[in-house]
Amino acid sequence: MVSKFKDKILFLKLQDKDREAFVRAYDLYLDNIYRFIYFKLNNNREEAEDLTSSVFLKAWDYIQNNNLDNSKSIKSLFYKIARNSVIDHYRQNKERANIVLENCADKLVIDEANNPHKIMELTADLEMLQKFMQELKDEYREIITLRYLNELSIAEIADILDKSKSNVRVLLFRAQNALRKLINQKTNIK
Amino acid sequence: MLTDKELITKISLLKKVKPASIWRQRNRALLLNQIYNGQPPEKVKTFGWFNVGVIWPFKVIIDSYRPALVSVFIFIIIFGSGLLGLEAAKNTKPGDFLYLAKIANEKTQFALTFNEKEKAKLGLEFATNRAKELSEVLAEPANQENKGKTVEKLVINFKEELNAVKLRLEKINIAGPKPKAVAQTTIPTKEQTAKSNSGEENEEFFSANSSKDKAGLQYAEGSAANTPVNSKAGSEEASETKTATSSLEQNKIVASSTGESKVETKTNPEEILEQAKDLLTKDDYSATLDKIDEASQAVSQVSSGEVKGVNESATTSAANAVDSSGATSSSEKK
Repeated sequence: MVSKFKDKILFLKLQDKDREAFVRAYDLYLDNIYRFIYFKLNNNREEAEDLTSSVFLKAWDYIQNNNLDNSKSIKSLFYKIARNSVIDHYRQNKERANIVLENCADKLVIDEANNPHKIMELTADLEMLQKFMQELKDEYREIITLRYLNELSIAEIADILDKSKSNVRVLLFRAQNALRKLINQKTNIK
Repeated sequence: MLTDKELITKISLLKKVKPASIWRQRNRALLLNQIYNGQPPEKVKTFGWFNVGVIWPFKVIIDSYRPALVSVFIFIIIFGSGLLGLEAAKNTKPGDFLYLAKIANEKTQFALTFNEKEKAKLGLEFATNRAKELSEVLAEPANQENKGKTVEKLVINFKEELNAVKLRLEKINIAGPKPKAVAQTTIPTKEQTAKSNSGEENEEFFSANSSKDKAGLQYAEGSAANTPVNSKAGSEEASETKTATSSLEQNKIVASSTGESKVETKTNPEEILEQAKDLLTKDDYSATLDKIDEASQAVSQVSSGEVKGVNESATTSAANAVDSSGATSSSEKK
């Protein structure tokens, strides 16, 4: 309830071209938006950074130029813009198959400091998981990112994806099963 | 096989994917530059020392609680319109649009009352309402058939209400503590007047504690003569007493200019019921029962007068017409 209240105040301040509000929104949502775009673009860091910047610019323009209903959520607005930006990006760059799976291990920022052993372990796990995520369908990958990485509620995800809550639950269940199956297959093979 | 919890734990590792902090800071500056195009930021709106931004929270509160506010507003409208409807229904009579609402309201009030005495009071109130409706219906110059039926129904309802109140009061009277003694003076009957004229003291005071025998005769306690006084339940003398007591009962048949007859009675059932309510408040159940019977009689007189009046009006108006035509013809001849 409190976060909803703060969200609305932020929204109103953005409508009033408040610079501090923009900075605050940027700090609040950057990590999640970046992560969302990163996994949608098959772990392409540079493109994820470019698209994330464009998402914030587009959101700012959209809020200023449209008389939006105050009941809307700024969080869902950012995600919708991010999703649409990725779709536009795919349309423009139809050579999606040529996107190379980069070795992201050395480019990932990992929060564990001064513990090389741990870093190595994490890096290995992360690499493996990212590969699994890439093998999933787009919609499964998207929903897992939104639910477990960005920690959005079912209602929020339903709003972003423009689906019903029951649809989202079913999709999430299927995505989990698919990922579980993948992990089990790969680990059994090993 | 991975459980859900293990799977979620594994997936959560991917939360560690974040943009580089250098890129974060550089990007922030770039975006702010692009947004403002080199212009300085706008000043916060103030009105003197008052920061206009204070108004935002109210706007946000209204937006946040809009569904609750809407439902409260709808509730107020429904409740308010219900109350207004009940208020409008208060002065309705049979045949009116909101009369059913009035009856429903009475039934609800009755159902929500649990004290027997309060129920009796309510019963008296409803009987008063029936009496008022009766007088309004009688005053109507409506078509005779419907009017007669309505009057009949109202009288039946009135008597039912009074009977119910009587039963209730009798129960309370038997079950509860004896009511306080209330001194009452009665106008002496013919016998008593004759005796008093002969020099005997025959002034009697009846208290609420006076008992009744099976024949319905009342004996005054502490009175010297202990002479039985006829109760109103049985004898003609009692009815005469009551007639004398009330000193209001005079029936007049007044022929109106339209030829309709009206039974104008000085015994107003509503006034009698008001008196009954006052007596009930004072816990004088016996006197209340008497007043109820009085009111019942008054209404019977009114309704029977109306019925007779209907028949008499034709004859009366016909007679008047004959008389008047006779009078005019005689005057013309002159």
